[in-house]
Amino acid sequence: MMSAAFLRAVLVVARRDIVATVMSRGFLIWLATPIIALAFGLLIGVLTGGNTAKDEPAAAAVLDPGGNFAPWISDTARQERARSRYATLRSRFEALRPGEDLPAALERPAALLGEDDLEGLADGGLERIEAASELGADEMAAALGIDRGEPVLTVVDPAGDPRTQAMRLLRPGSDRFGAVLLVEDGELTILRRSPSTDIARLRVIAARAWDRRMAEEMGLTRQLDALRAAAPALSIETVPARADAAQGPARDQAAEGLGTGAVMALFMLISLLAGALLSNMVEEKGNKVIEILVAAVPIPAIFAGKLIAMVAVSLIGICVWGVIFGGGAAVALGQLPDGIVPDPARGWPMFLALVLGFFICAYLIYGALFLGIGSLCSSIREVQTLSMPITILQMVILVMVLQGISAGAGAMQAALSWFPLSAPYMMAARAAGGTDLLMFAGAYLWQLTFAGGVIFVASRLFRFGVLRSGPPPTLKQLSRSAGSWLRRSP
Amino acid sequence: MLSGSGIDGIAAYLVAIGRGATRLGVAGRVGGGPNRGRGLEFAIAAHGLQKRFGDKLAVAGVDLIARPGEILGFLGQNGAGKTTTIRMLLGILTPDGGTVEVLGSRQPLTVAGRIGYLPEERGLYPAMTTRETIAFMGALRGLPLAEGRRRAEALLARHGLKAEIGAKIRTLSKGMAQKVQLLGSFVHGPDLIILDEPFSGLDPVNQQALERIIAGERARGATILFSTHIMSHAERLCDNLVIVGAGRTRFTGTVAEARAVLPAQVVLKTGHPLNGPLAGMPAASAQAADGTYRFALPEEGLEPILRHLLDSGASIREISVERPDLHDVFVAMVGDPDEEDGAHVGAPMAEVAP
Repeated sequence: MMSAAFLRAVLVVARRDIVATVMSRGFLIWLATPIIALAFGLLIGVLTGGNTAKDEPAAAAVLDPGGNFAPWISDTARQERARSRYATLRSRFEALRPGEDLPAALERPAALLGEDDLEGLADGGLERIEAASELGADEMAAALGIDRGEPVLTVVDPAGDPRTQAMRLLRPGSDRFGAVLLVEDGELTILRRSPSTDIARLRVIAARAWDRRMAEEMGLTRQLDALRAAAPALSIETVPARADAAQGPARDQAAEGLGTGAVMALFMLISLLAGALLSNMVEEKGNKVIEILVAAVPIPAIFAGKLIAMVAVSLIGICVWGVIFGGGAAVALGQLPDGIVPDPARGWPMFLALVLGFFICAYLIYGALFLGIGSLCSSIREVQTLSMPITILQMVILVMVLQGISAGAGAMQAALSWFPLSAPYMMAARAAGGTDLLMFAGAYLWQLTFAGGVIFVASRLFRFGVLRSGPPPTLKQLSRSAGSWLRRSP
Repeated sequence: MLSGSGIDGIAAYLVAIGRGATRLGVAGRVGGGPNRGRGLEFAIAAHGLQKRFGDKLAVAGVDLIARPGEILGFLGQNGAGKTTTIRMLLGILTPDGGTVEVLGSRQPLTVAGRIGYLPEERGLYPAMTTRETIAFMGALRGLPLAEGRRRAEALLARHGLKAEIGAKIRTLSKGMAQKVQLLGSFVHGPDLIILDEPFSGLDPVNQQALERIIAGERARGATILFSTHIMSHAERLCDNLVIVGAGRTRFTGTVAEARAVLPAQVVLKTGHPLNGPLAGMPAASAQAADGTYRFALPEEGLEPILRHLLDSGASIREISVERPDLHDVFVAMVGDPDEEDGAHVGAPMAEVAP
């Protein structure tokens, strides 16, 4: 029964825990966790950024003492760059505007573009298409990993023995070129700095340039263009595998992405909070304050106070992160082209509200479980031993939920939506989609009822274990205690 | 355990327990006035309390009565079940047998706001200030935080801790921290204060200060129950005593009644050994080499002995009657506390561990 005295006791315990946690150094570290993660990510980015640069096609020098091939390869490189950017724009459109028809300017597959098409694109046609299609700046697209680079080719004037000159261009200490294309006596040789130097595109461009020159010499250029122009239109369609495919595959993809993000965020947050809750309980058992608490207020009030305190602390943390990162994130999101960040089916406010609700449900369920375990432990080592099964269970649940998200609607998703330990995660993921609101209401009711049951059982466990010393009780002792409690209950 | 010779003598005094038990049936009601406990016949009435941990019967049958406004000493060896009994009185542990009524309620937590408690195992939040600690302890018992802070400052100043009002617990000495916890246990002005081993770990100066605080709370009208195995405190402070041994009540009554449990000892020093002429005198329990004899004072008193000695010309050099102190009574009732102390060093929670 929720009397005023009970609520007052809950608030006293919660207030103490909130103040103690927020004023502690540990909270600052906890707050800094995303900053540290971000810094770590940047560091990794910087470190792997070097590798990415190495993965970029190498800048190459073209050495053509005869001078017949250099104009062809320069022109072909220009055309291929235009073709590559055209292909990127086309795939970007397909990614960002799924389900929409391609505009006429992007209708033709890149591989079938003829000489005139490529010339037109290279002479300002690409810029016009970019502006018309509103696909965002190249820099943003590059940051999102949408664009791919083309090798930069530089025709170098011959000076002395071509091979010696090529070796000189690639000698250690000179970083200008990663490779040299040597044209000699009707043969093409690529000299590269190391086996890992990316010369794939250079090979393609060189081969195309050679083909173009040969076709021109043989008078086949027009025929080849005609051949390309006569190629049949090829369209690709994906057959939706989901039962709720009526909303379209695009909506499915967006919901899946958002759902996965929500589940991961929930999992991280709950793992962090559960750890803090356990430490708090063990600390109070260690410094014996717990006896003062249990002598003054009912154990469920202590329990509820601690759970509420940790939810409040997490909300404070989220607010602080919102203040610190919110502005920057909003600006960054504003810069993104439309469609990069998918919209939840019911809009962001409703999605966030639903996820917050499921976060509280998940936290109450797992927090109560961890608190019950904490009350049985008297040292961090015992906590680690006893909480291991729950942590493993949580990991299994996470993996299954992620499976459930990608599997889409079906028996697995339904089971995960109602199995109490996975339900908060699965329903949080489904909040991104168009699931019926009534189902969410039912889920809340079920999860809160279950959380209440867990809190009740865990508080019995807490009562049993909180003032014990020595090893944790055996299952036999716990069942005997539960039996005697049931016998006493009216 | 009682010594073999003491069992019969002491058993006669254990009727007090029976008296206490019969009074339990008329447990009183909450009264008005500054000390609401005064309207009750008993502040605490516990009968036949039992608690088992696994295979161990930690409390086998404790009877305990505390009348409003009195100081009740709860004496027993380490491991005798004092802390477990106190935890049952407070509702922390549920008894496996027997009944408890505290301030008129059979559910002690419902009257927690009228109880103050100092646990045996001292525990405070190290990062909290003294003022916040006391205010928090008051808030747990229903005192508004602002009022708790105000009272905390006054209490700290009154008990020599003015300079430590804003200090964190971790910066205090053990004695200071213990004093803060004690102040926190009655900041809300409780009707009943339960102190579990309040004197342990304190130096003599702080022990004296603590005695003053306890006496002050009694003067305010509070009922106080404190457990201890330091007899001098019990002798000085207590109106009544409950002595437990091996989880059972062995004695209830006043200090004087406790001391009367054991017969007075006659100490006699004579000029020459007592031989034939002393036929009919009580058997000496001890005879020192210097001719000193100790024996129990007979029911008829000292006169027959004196007459006998004078008639026989025993050359009396010294004769006195010694009343047993509480320590002697305690040892006689529950065994040698020193031995028990040694047996339980480092296991203060043994009472509650299975």
